[in-house]
Amino acid sequence: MLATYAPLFLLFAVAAVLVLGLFFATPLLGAKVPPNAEKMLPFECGAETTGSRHVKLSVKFYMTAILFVVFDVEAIFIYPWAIQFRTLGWVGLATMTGFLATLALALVYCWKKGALEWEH
Amino acid sequence: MDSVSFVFALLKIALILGFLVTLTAVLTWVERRQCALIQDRVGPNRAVVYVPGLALKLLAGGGGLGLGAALAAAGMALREHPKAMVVCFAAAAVVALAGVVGAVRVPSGTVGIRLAGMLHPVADGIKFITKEDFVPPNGDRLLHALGPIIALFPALVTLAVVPFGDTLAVQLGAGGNLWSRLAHGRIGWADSLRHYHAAVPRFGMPTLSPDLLPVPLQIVDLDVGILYIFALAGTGIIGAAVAGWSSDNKYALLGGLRAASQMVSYEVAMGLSLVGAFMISSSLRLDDIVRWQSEHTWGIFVQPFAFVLFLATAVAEQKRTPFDAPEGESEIVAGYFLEYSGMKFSMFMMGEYMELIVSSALLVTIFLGGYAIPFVHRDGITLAFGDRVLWQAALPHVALVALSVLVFFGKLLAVCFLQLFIRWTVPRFRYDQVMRLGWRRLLPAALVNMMLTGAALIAVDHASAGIDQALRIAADVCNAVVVLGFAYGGVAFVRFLASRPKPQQELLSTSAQRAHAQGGAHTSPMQA
Repeated sequence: MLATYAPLFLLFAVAAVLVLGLFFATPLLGAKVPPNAEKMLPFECGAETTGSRHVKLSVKFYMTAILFVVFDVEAIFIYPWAIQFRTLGWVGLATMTGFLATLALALVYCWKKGALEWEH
Repeated sequence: MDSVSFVFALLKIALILGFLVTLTAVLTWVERRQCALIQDRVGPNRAVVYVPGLALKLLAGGGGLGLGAALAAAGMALREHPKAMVVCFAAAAVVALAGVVGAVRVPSGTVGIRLAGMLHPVADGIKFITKEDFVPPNGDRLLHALGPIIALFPALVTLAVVPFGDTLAVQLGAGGNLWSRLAHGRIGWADSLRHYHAAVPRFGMPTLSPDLLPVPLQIVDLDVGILYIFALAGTGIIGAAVAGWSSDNKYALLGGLRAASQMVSYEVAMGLSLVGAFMISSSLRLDDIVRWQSEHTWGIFVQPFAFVLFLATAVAEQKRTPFDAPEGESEIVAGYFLEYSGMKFSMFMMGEYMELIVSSALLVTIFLGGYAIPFVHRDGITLAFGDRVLWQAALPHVALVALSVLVFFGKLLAVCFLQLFIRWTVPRFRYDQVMRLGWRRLLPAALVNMMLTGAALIAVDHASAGIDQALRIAADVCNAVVVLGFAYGGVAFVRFLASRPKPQQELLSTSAQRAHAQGGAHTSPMQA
């Protein structure tokens, strides 16, 4: 177990050193310029920013996140079946057809309800 | 983990990380070159290092003569092997001659070295490091710091499970620890063909004889294989989302949201598009998938739709043109990394290019045969159609493994080049088009592909012996098509390189045509 994963942890350690080195390169070696009020403003192409920065967002982003959770969990059920497919044979295919039909039904329902609409 | 495995693990990690970082820099250069070629511009050429010619002369002459002397010494040391000695002496002569010729040819004045613009990534690196570090004062400092780290780290470690060559068999002499065995020349490659033939079957893993150590050419051989890649690719999404959220900027927030939404949408289709390949090879281990392709034929011939689906979702996952709405500079300046400067900004870009390399490696491994070469197996070349063997030739083990590594990296570079070219070919999609393509086209297509693969597999598994034989011949015909295609491509490429560029002039406007009819217009040097 440990022997299998040891090279992976070694890789993680080396990569972490590399990433942290890059991360601290600019703060440590970069130019030091004293801050002024204008530079510290959020950059909006020169226009002055108004209101709260955390603006109200379209509900579509939330819908997409929920749909992702639903469909990605389904995908996790599909992987073990795919690995065992050739031993399961017809029975496996029939079972998974039922499961995928339910999944497709859910997708069609979301589609008809307009959860996949981004046009308006 | 014993010392031998540890040394090999370190070597493999150094190779993969070094390759990733180097190729990332090279790809930024390739991208600029392609852009310049397409737009008929000069492209990157302004990063110059000025070197006194005398130093270059000394470097070329001294380096050539020194390397030549070292090679000649190696030739003397190999007196017992006449062939190796001749090769060493020939190489020494060539290197020394090249050094002397170089020293003579270099001009004596100051020389500007441009390397066709290859110095631009270096100049970029210096610029990134010396930039001022900016952290938004009202943002979330911790999340702002975590953003680039989470974006880059997964991209660096994802290649760990991708096999970049066939399993290498190392012959360990008996007795003593690794270092004493090395010192006494008791460790070597299992290159005596007779010995290796007995130890390593043509298909499957090498059997363990006590003094034969199989070294898989991948950093870690996990059972979950591709799931590890999906898990880490999913982590990368958090980097973009967190960066946009913590930057205290409306554009960055919108970019982060777009990035997260787009990446999770395409991750579903991406995960499902590969299921067909897993069903065929009955494994998630990438080495098994390559082995299946080596025994039969490339994945692109059995899963052509999945190849297109995976390529489309992979480009979308990297947020590259045409799927670059999250960083669309005409709408939201730079998107989620708008409030980052210096190396932190560069970490997002590096992460993006590394994801490109990783997805290219996956494409190669799952659909383009990985390190496998058509008709080449662990025992050498076997040119066969079905059961009819036309020609057979044995090859030494080390040559085969070295060839497999070269082939893998060659395929990888070709697919990277293809993915870069997509950027200069297709314009940016609108965001609603991106989401529509992901959810309403690619996801149903992936599900249909999966069911069709299942039905076809059942049919093949229950097929009669005659159909089975026909399928095997078809697979070998596909292999032959690959070989012929590569041969034709190689010849065409050499002919392209050898051909002289034709000066082309297209007269588009009527005024240009009139000027041409009157004997041509005056051109000035500034019009270049």
